Amino acid sequence: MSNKITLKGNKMIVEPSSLDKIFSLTNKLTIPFEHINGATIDKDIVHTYKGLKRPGLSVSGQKWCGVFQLDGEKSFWNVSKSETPLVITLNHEKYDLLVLGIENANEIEKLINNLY
Amino acid sequence: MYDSDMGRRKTYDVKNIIQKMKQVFLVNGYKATSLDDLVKATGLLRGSLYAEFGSKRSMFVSVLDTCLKQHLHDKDTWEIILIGMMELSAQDQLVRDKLKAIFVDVNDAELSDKLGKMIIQRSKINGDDKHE
Repeated sequence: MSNKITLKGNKMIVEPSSLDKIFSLTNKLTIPFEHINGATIDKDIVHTYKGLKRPGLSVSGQKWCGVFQLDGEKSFWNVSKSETPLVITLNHEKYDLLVLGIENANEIEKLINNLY
Repeated sequence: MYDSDMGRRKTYDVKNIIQKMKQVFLVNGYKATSLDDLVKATGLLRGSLYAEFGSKRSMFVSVLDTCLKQHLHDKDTWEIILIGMMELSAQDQLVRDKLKAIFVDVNDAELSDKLGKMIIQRSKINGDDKHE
């Protein structure tokens, strides 16, 4: 899977897989719980227009890595077409939205939405 | 409800959006409702929905809150309550707490009767589908 998400203490740690760290130019994201608005499994988001690459990478319409900007919002993507995308919305962070392919999307969605 | 601080200019009425989302949840339930369904029904961009509400779960909670504040005795409200009970309450503490608060003054027999009737009506097994 493209990413691993850990909830530890009062922080969410997002770690792209080794290869994806290179493509997305991102090693790890550490987000305090109070900066997380919610999580949604959104299977159709990969078919939507993502915006301008800032920098972002789209590989043959099968994988999306990096930063995209649309309507003034910055989103970080690291997801393949074959994965279940988990959309995590943020506040007071560099990114407004994370779109991540993870193995245990249902479990993480539930944990994030029950943070408080 | 999450307030956007991203400089996005609102050109919609949130109450109207919540009403439209309610209709989608009433037809599909919670889990079967996709973001595409909500985008189509509300006419908002996906990014705008996420910016305003934060998540699909928060969208449902907004619908639930509106129903409970304004239309407690409506049929639609009880259907939303039923959807919350069947699909979210077991794994969502916030939804569970909201539902528990409604049932404080309702005895079990009354609640069972109301919800039982709601389930039969929603299933259309009592002939309510004759006009379709």
